[in-house]
Amino acid sequence: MDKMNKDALLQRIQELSFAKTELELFLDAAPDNKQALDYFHKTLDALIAAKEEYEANYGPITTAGVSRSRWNWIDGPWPWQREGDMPDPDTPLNCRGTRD
Amino acid sequence: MWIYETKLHYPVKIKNPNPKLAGVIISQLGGPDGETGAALRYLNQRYTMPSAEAIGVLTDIGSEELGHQEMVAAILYQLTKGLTPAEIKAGGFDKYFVDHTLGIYPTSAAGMPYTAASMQSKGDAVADLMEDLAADAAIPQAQSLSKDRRKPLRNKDFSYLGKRRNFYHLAIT
Repeated sequence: MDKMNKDALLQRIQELSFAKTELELFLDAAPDNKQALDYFHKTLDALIAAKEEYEANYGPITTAGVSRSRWNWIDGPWPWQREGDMPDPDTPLNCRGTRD
Repeated sequence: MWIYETKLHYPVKIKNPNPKLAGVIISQLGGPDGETGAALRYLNQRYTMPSAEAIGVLTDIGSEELGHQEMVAAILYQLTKGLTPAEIKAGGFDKYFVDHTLGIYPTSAAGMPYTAASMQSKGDAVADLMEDLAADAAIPQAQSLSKDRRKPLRNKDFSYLGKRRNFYHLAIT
């Protein structure tokens, strides 16, 4: 498989994770449904593979995926931020406690 | 316990800040039927549910609601990023701003901070599940204020529950 770019891969992870969540909720109320269980595991396998590829190339998704050489968990952007939103520690705080 | 994944449940990419919209959407975060309320209801009601299925459903939905809470907060963060005081005032967001600036604070659009007084956890499975229906069914009413004009649910929309054994099966098994 060609290496997807970061945004496309993250979107794929979000899609698979969304499907997995829906299957979890369905199976909670229908635990004996074999077809749903098989589909859950198929989705989970694809999700794990996508997460491994993302963490190998772009950064951790959980702290279990943190680099061995530095604590890259806190690198931005965080999920609610856009590129360039991370506060610059060299800019002093203003009187409102922000840096803008 | 909970694991955090550094991604949103669904992407949030707001193109233009909009303080007026933020002043309404804030209820989805901290209003009586918002995501905070949903998460706290399900996660607290699950302990006394009488069946494994019900405990599973409430645990997993409650966890998902925490992810929804994060999405709504991300929406609010992006809707208010970089606003000038003039824009904030023009958008009617000044009353929120005076107490919180652009910080994300769970409150309702009318200015009532989130309170557990707007939820209930009674240790009775049917009462608790009805409480959840009341809160979750109210969300479409709130959504009807946005461009997506979904109809609010009415009592008649729930008539199928009387016919389905599964709902009561969850509660009384």
